[in-house]
Amino acid sequence: MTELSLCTKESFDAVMRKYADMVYKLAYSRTGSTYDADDILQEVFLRYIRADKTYNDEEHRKAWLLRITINCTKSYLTSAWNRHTDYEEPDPNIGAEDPALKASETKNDVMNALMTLPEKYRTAIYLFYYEDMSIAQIAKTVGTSETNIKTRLSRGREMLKEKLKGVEFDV
Amino acid sequence: MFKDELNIAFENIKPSPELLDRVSAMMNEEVKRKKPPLQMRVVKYAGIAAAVALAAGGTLLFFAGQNNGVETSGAAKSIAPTAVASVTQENNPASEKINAAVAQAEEAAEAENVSADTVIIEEAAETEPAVASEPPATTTTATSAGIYAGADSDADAGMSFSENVEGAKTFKTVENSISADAAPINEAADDEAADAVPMMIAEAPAADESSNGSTEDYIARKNEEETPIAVDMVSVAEAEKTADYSEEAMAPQAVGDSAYAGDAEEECLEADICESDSDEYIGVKDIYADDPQKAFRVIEFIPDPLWNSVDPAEANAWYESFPIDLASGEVPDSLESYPNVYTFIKHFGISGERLKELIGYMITDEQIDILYHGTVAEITAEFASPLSIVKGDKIYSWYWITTHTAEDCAAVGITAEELLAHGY
Repeated sequence: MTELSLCTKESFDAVMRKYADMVYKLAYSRTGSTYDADDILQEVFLRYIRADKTYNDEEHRKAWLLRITINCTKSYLTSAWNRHTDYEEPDPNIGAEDPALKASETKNDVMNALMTLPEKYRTAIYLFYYEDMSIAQIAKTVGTSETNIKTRLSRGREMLKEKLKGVEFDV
Repeated sequence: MFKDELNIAFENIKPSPELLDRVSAMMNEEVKRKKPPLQMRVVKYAGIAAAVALAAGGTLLFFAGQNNGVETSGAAKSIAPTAVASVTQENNPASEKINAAVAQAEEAAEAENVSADTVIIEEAAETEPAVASEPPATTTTATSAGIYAGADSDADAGMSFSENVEGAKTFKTVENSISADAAPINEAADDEAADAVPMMIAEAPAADESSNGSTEDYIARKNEEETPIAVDMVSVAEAEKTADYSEEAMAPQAVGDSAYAGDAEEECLEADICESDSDEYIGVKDIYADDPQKAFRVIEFIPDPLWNSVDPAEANAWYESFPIDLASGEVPDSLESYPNVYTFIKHFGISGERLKELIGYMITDEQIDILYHGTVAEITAEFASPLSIVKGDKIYSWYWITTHTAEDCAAVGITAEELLAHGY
């Protein structure tokens, strides 16, 4: 039995708090909306409780949560009606006094560039660079071949290089 | 490095503490909904135990009548002490043997470090309920929710598990006896026992639900409903050691003259939302482009690359200039009445070449040609979603049709035959 048992409500809560950040960021990277990410976060952990699985280890649990997040965002995006764009432009006035945010013009450029990618490329880029997952892990999580993941990463990088002049990729 | 910049970009993208508390509360509610209250579980297990006791009592009576001194049956050994204490049987010489069996069950439970109820339940699940040759002279029946596996057999034996009034009264007797006489309930152990109970007792489906196989099959099916592909991280780690991630190895295989002619055929995550980029699809399927509830395919939403190609303030001003209020639920009925790719490129003067550059991954050359050279009616017809009904320059989407009456549909010329033909 892993450290985070699935049998008590305390464990469910601990799992949620441990992985909420990861689920939220992935949901945001796919939808570009904090509102949608909020809803998807709740949906993912509701499904987690209802599935009530046991896991081989934490990596297994993490992969399962990522997979469910991807599934939830798919369902969510295809039912969206009142959207003219899938990406919320960050409000430039929010946190204007925050030095960390002020210094994040780069952050906005990177986020903007990332959000212009097709959703599949975006997911691959995000999981590879932000979640530090390997090609094989991403392929298994997303449910496709390693070749496809490599292709998506390569094309995603090409598109990002065009938009982010001078950015270096460490692979 | 891009990775560092990506980390910075996502630094402030996180769930708020309020959201986490909300999710936590939701999870607590879900857990409560799944797990019956403690008292219910005690009553449930006591009911099961009492049923087993009655069945065993009937068997013992039978054997006692046949042969004095016969050893208690296996079922009799699985009798809860508390339930048996409240079962009164008239003229039953075997009651002492039942009590002895109870003591044995308690010792066995202690040795296995589980509650006696768990032992009882597991044995009850495995043991065929005994059918007495004649109904035992007992004043106690047990009322359960019908989850006892042997309920039907016991009903045949004349013991009632129904929710009749008499049964409920006698069950109350059992319950009261348990509360009065039972040892203090160890909640933690009970929780453990509850969680250890095989699903076949706690959540066994009705017979027709599990008609495809055993309850184990049912459990396995339920567990797999949302189970992703199991991730074997050990073999993944091994494979990673020799993987080649150089640019050359990861360069896409050129297909024809265009690197974007389509990815290799891919497995779909979900059959109805297939993201395959194989050539049989028109362009790369954009996840927004083909929702059949929308009026149009492909051009309904303005993709980010197109939106971001103009000044954001101007784009927002243009979006706000339309009288229709999409956010409030108003439904457009014509191509030119609301923000979409067509109205966007017309307003901002985006050329066909530029459009292809920006969103060529989701629209074909032929579609671009129609978009720029066709009439409104032709464009409407070309891009209409499968569920939309086109009337000249007008288009009535699924959303429009399902939010208007039959009279409204007739008023705009939509016939019943057309509705049927489109699946309404």
